[in-house]
Amino acid sequence: MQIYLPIAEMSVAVELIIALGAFVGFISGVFGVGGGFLTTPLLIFMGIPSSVAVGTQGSQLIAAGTSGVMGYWRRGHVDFLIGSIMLIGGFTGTIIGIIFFQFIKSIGQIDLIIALLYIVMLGSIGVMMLLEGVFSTFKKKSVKSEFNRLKSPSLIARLPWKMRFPRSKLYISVLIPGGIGIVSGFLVSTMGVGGGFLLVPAMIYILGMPPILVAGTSLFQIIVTSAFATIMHASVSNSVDIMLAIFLVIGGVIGAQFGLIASRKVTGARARIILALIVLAVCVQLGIQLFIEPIDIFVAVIE
Amino acid sequence: MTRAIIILLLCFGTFYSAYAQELVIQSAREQIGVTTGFDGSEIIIFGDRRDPQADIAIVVEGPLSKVTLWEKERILGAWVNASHAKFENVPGYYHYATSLSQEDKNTEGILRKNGIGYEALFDMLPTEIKSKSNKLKIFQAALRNKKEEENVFFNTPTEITFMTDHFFKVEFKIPPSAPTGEYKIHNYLIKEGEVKEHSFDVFKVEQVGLNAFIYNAAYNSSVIYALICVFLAAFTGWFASILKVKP
Repeated sequence: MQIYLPIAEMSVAVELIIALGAFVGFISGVFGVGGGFLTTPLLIFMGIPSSVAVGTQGSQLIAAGTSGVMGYWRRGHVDFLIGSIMLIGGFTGTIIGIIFFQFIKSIGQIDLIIALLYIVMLGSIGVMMLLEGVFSTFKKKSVKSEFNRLKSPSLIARLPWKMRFPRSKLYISVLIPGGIGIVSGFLVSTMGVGGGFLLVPAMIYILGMPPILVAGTSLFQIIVTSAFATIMHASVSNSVDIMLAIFLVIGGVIGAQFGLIASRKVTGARARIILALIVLAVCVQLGIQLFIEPIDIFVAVIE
Repeated sequence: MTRAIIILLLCFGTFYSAYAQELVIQSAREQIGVTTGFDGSEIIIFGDRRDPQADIAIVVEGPLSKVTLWEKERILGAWVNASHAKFENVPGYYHYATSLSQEDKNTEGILRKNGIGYEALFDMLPTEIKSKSNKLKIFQAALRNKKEEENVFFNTPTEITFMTDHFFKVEFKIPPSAPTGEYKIHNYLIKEGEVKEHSFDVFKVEQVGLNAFIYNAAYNSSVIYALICVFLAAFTGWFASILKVKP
């Protein structure tokens, strides 16, 4: 069934949108990731304008995040204080991202910049995950010890504006959670990804938060930042398509249910290898589009 | 039946008001509604010419916009938007019909001289080019190709069906990719290669029902619109989390 998207102003097959949402929901159910990094490129492959893809994707992050955060909240595994500090950074990052987004749009390079950001991000995460997955399958050694060496307590301890976070049992500078928030806000508003893959390790290894609080707190921060980014995109560039969002989210909810069932059958290291391969496949596809001579070398932008 | 009524109305209208006009047209609808399931439509135009010897041309022109056309070049291996041309007043849809014979060599010249058809359209488009060499013609051809691919420009004019020597009918396809906005139906009466009469009528392609509501909400009260998006997403997510508890 064809459906006309009122904001993208184009007609798409609704089954395709639901299938895409379900696929990403399935992936996020199996691997416990947000899946935003897959939705945006897949929407762009379908011909949805990059700006609408990025603007609308936030809704899916909110839906996926809310369903995840409820469980953590009930068990009290969310540190709202540190989360709020991260949010201040998140809002700043979002505003920077929106300005950057408008700028690259005005110089006609939005498709290129978004594709490049994705290739760099997906490529590095894919490779890291693949290595880690292969590594732990053969050596049974976790990467945690590697990461711990990256931590440099002296530098972090020297930063000003220290604050006490009783829930996480931390006494650190607000600049660290704030800075992490800025990166996350920038990612949400320019690429439509939650950035959980960056937030989670950063909160464990840089902030030193108790791992049990990390997932819930990062989800809390991603939901609120995405909500803010959605409002900004809607009011600055009118690029949020509610019709597209609804079908993506419905597909996502259905897919996530199956993903959860499947997740019981796939174990940690193997799951990471499969996920890494999916991520790398999307990365390669984006690369092909960028580096292979296009059939049509002209691009029309209507203002 | 409706056609008969329209023709009757046309006759009436012609006798009633058109003593001054030699060519009268009437579009069968004044609005094309873009619904959620919109999959294209058509606009049917009925007309009456007083002189059966006179030729006519009908142009349907969509809303005008500014189009920037980028040409990709290979930079460091990647295909990147490099040079560009800016076109002002590009119609979002352009299609025409004429009673002038396509086989006649003079037809193209007559149309172009009088501002009808693609050559004439491009003659009039103000452009600004930022590119190393002068590529005006290349950019113009590329723009036309783009529009043809989107099904909003057409390779050949559509046909005029004459029901009598005076009455005629033209049908223009409006594809789902046609932009929303105000469309003009220009009608030209041509005698001896010159336009004797020119007037236009308008119709609208606009989102209706739920689509119109969403579109207006997004543009006029964007913050409330965004809050509804956020709420819907959060609600669906929350609902899904309840479902997950059960099995």
